[in-house]
Amino acid sequence: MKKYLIPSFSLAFLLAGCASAPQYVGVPSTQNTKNISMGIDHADFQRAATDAIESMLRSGALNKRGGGRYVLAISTVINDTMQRIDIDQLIKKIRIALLQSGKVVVTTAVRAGGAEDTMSYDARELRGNSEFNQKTVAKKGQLIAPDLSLSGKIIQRNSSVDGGDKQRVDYYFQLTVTDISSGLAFWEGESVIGKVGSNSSSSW
Amino acid sequence: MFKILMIFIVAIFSGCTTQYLPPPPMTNIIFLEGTDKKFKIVNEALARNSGGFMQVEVDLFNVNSYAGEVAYRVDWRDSNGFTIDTIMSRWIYVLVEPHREIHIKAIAPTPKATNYRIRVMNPNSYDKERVNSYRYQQKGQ
Repeated sequence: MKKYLIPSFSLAFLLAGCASAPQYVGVPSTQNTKNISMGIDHADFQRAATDAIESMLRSGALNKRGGGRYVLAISTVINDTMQRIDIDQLIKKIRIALLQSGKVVVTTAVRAGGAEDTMSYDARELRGNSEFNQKTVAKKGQLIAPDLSLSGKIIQRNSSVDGGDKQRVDYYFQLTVTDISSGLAFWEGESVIGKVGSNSSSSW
Repeated sequence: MFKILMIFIVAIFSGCTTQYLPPPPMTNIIFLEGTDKKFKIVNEALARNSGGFMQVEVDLFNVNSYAGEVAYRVDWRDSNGFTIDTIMSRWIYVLVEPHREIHIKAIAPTPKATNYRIRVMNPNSYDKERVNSYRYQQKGQ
């Protein structure tokens, strides 16, 4: 029994040495060594959102002619990855930054798949209810229709690198701002985040 | 009459273009932990774009004959000197090859920004913990 002990330990050490922790592609290695997964995490959403916001503000696409703010509706963001993602992890960061910019305000009354906040409609059911002061109930024709729509897609591509010893996962965050009245894309952006890790690292 | 017309045309066009501002004082770029011995500022530009957002671009030259990592962060301040909290301000880590430049480029999160501050530091072992949310505020986040 004992004679198998040393070879077993050696094998375990050897295999442990082969399994490399996930790393970002194109980032200094010393910053790459802890708490990084092959999946999409907080830091990835933050970087994708920051890239998108910086690009939007630079482009001037959000400068409304005559001043004022655009009203933006959130459309569909397709999740074409192997992971279950809540798209709001990305979109919320963008919304916060857009609101801060003073150029855009997001409507919660209109969204692909239904209103984000149904209270805008529920509160209107109070019309004619004598329990409520009717002067405080939202009047007809008060909701603001969106000028712009934000849509996008997150794509995941896995590939084998280093002769099949490692895997590389690339995530593409693609976003588009469309002018609803004309259907034209006023702004488009893409942010790519790449990670490399051992084949034993799971990306979902 | 011609003069007035020319002034009118110039005024119209100047309203549409990026307004370039004079170079900011050097104190806006803070080299910490001896990074001033590693990098030299070779270009610095500041502008306010048509949307009213301040933009800054700084080129740093690695004067050493060896590659080095550097961490930098751009923060924006309002007219009262308060730092504007935004996800656009974050530490960015770059590997700079010997005798090469890095290009720092940033845009303010809001037109209310009137000034900026760039901090340049040496990455250290603590930075690896930065992605840990419990250490999010370390190093003057």
